[in-house]
Amino acid sequence: MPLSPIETAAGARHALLTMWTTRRFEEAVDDLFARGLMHGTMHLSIGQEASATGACMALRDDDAITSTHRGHGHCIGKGADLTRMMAELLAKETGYCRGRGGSMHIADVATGNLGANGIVGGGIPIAAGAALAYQLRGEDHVVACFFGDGATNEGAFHEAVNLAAIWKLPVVFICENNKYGMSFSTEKSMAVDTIAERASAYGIPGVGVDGNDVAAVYDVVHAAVERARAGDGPTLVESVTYRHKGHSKSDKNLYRTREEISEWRDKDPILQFEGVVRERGLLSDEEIQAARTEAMESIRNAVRTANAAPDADPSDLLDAVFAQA
Amino acid sequence: MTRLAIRMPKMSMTMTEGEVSSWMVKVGDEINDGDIVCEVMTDKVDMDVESPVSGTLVEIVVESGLVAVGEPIGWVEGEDDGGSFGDLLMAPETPEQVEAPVPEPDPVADTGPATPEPEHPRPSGIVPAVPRARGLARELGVDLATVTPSGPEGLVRVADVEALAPTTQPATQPASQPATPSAPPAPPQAADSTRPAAKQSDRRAAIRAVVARTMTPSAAIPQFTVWRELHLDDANATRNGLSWTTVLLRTYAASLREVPELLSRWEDDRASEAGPPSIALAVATDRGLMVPTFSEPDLGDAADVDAEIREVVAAVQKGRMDRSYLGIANGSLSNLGGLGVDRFQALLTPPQGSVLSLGSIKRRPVAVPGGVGTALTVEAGLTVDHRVADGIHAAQLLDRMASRLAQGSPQGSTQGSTQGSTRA
Amino acid sequence: MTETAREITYSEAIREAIGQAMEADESVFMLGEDIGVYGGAFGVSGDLYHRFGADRIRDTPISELGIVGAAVGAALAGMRPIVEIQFSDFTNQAMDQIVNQAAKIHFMLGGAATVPMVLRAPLGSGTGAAAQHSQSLEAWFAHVPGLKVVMPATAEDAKGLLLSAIDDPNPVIVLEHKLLYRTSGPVPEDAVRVPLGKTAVRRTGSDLTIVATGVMVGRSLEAAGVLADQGVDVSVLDPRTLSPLDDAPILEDVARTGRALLVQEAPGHVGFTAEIAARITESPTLYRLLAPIRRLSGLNAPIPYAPQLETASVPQVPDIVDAALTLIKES
Repeated sequence: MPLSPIETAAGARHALLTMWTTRRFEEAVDDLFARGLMHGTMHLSIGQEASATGACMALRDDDAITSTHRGHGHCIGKGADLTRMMAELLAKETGYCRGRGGSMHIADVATGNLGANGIVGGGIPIAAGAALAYQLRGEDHVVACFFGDGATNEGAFHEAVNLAAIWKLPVVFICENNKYGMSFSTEKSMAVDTIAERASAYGIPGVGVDGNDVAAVYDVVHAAVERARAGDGPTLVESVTYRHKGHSKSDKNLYRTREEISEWRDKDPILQFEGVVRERGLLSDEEIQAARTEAMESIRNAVRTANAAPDADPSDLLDAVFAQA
Repeated sequence: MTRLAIRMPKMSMTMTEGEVSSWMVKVGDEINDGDIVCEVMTDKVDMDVESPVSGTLVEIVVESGLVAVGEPIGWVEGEDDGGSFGDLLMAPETPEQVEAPVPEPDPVADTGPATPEPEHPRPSGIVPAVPRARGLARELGVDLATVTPSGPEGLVRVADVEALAPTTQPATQPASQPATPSAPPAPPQAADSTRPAAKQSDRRAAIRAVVARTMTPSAAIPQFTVWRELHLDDANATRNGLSWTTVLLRTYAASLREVPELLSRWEDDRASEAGPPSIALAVATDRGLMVPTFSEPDLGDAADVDAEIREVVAAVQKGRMDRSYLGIANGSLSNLGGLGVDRFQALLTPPQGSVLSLGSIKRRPVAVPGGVGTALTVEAGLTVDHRVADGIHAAQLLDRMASRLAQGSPQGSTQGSTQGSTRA
Repeated sequence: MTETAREITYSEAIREAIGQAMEADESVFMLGEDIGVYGGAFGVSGDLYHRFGADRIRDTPISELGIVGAAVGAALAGMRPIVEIQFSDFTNQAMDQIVNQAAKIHFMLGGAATVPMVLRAPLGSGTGAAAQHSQSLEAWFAHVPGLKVVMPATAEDAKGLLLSAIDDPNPVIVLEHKLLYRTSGPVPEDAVRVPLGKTAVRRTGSDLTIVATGVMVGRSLEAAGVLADQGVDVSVLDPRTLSPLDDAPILEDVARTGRALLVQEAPGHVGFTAEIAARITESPTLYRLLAPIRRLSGLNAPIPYAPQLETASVPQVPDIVDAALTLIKES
């Protein structure tokens, strides 16, 4: 059930634990990749934890999400199994996708995670379609569709948001604006000042929020989710945040300054939140430390357990192309 | 406080190593997680390396130079906050492994070919033939229905069509019977998959199958044999303990150089370029006939070659043959003299140009001026592929061999050809 | 065959399939442009809108990428959507959702999800619609692992294959040749399925095997009649499902006749019949060929507008007859 990060100790604890778990997961992936122990490339969301956590806390367990190539935080927020996530990245048979999908295609359809997507904007029409299915069946689930600033310039965004708007589909479009596509800044890639104002082109509400304030994100997304659940249609939420690391592992960060990166790092959303909950007396220092420790331990366990599993097996690759009736 | 590594990071999907080019910090400096410590050149870009740990830099492992991804380039003394996740992968694995279920291997089918054939309606009137064979048949005016197929399931091959093609030269047909229309050779799968009990007869069957497969095409080759009684007294006087196999093998090889037509092989419908002599020596073993191939045996010191031949033959009889004797031969030597055979006609092993058969070496009556004497002789038979050479070449070869043996020095170096007769 | 069959058009047969599928299963619905009140650009959806309402026969804006993506999402969430793309040429607007998403989700997710959707589109030339509305792109789809591709040539198959496609848990592309919509044939009244992945032998002959797809099946049968009058007896085989391809009947028939003539409307270069030719040469049927395999295809050029240019661009009945006779003569 939806749980606010700042109304109760339980909510605060959940928010803090989820954000630290996401952070440690990303750091683990970073470290493993840097050591040559993980294959492919990774798109890390370090610095964006509050946006993913706050939004996911506003969802019911039977709501759905679609996610992006930078989607580990969304998956963790939606309750993904850390070991199965890590096993997927380590190309193990026990990974979510049995090693066939990798970082960009983690999904847990059974629990409403309709999948991360390797195509920018690829998940937006899919989210609209899932919402259409719920509407046709008269079910009151909502789909939270995550995407980045770059995706709003893709045709798929335009088409899907329009469809959702005309059909009043139960979907919340959450744009995590971290100010850069890969290297192209939002200042250069759009002629409007904010992404939220694009909503008016579709006749739906657009709301901006500080993506690094987990409680604020929760409030905004929660309102949008309830609106959708009531049958009033979609909302475009612009969650402004920042990624500490480059776009992917080959990013040399030539397009932004060290000062900019360091400025945002000082505004670390997790540390900020710790300050808030301490100040409000929601959690003690010990409880905060306990959350940090638990997060670290769970990631270390996930790495250990995932690594012990057998490698993905190529022997039935062809069998896996088509589903059997 | 523990020693924490700063490692060469993998900075692109394809990167395997990076070159440290310069350090921004020195030993003794305090560094924080995220500080840039050095610059690295990779296959794609020049990148700054950030320290993943905080503490005091206590060691620079590589000031500049190539380092493999994952290897330490520096060491920091600081608090271990558990962030070195890569170490977890290096730790010995926990005893309880999660085993993915291993699918049961399919029981090996006992009979029949590996892939099930669709049921072909048999009497369609079309004879299965390799496309080139069909084309050739058309060219030569041969009716495929009259061709004896040598391939599996009645498949007509090029050689089968050639066997029926009318020839212009009267070639001496081999006295031996042509191979009977094939029982298809035993499919390898069947031989492997049968019960272990019947190993002996299986092996024999496999051996015969191999011979059948190799020699059946020989029946389609126009070949003839030329005979000569070679006198060996002179060679016997000078061979100094060398085996007759060595002497005759070297003489054959050296003589072939002087009749290069016989060094050709018939391949791809033409005689190939003559290569250096490479002779397959037939050795009988209980695994069947083995043919180690000796490259240019006429070169090099005779004693060395003799030792080599003995060694190889011994090994082959024990069932071992070094890879270097598996080369492609352009001639063969076969000796049945040890078993009392006087002479025999060897069959060509395609695509070789010739094969030399040797009977027993013994003292026989010969004509001498004024009467009859004796000489140490051997009946040599040279079977030749008529497509690469003619009778004259065969005669020349044996003549050269006779000359060399008479000279008593069957070495590789030729003293210039003393052959007087012209080539026809 | 089946119980009661009566003559209806290819187009009516498709409508009948959709209606029967929707009646039987609440999760089946269709989306597409102008399929509602308008009845579909080629009249296929007809009165379905009046029978099932605007939710389940859902008109959309001109947003191929959006609506194909919506179909993917709906399928992931448990529905069985049919998406009608008005001209198969417009599948290009939606390629990301077809190729990168629908085809790959089942595989990428390690089998944990399925995308049971059908994409139907009219393909082919002959209506003067010119280059951007007349293409035959079946080879593109057949080349993508994870997609099934069917090209029904008869009214009965149009209904039967569509019903099977709707049942299939995988994304199926159904390509309907425009010129076939008005053709008629016997179609069972019941919801009789025609299985995917089964080649149909339309005619059995002894001298030559024709393999044809789409509108070329009918043209080949016509050519067969002309050839019969000239004493040449040909087989005509219709793969129906291009992927996965049932090649066994083709290999068998060609092994029997020794001659293969492969006919398609699409341009020959890297076309679907190249796959059939490769399968023949990779098999023992090769040893029974009496002549090289012959492909008869559309020109390697966009479809032109003028009617005489348009017909000259793709194989017609006389072309098939000529090709067959030449093949016989050469061998």
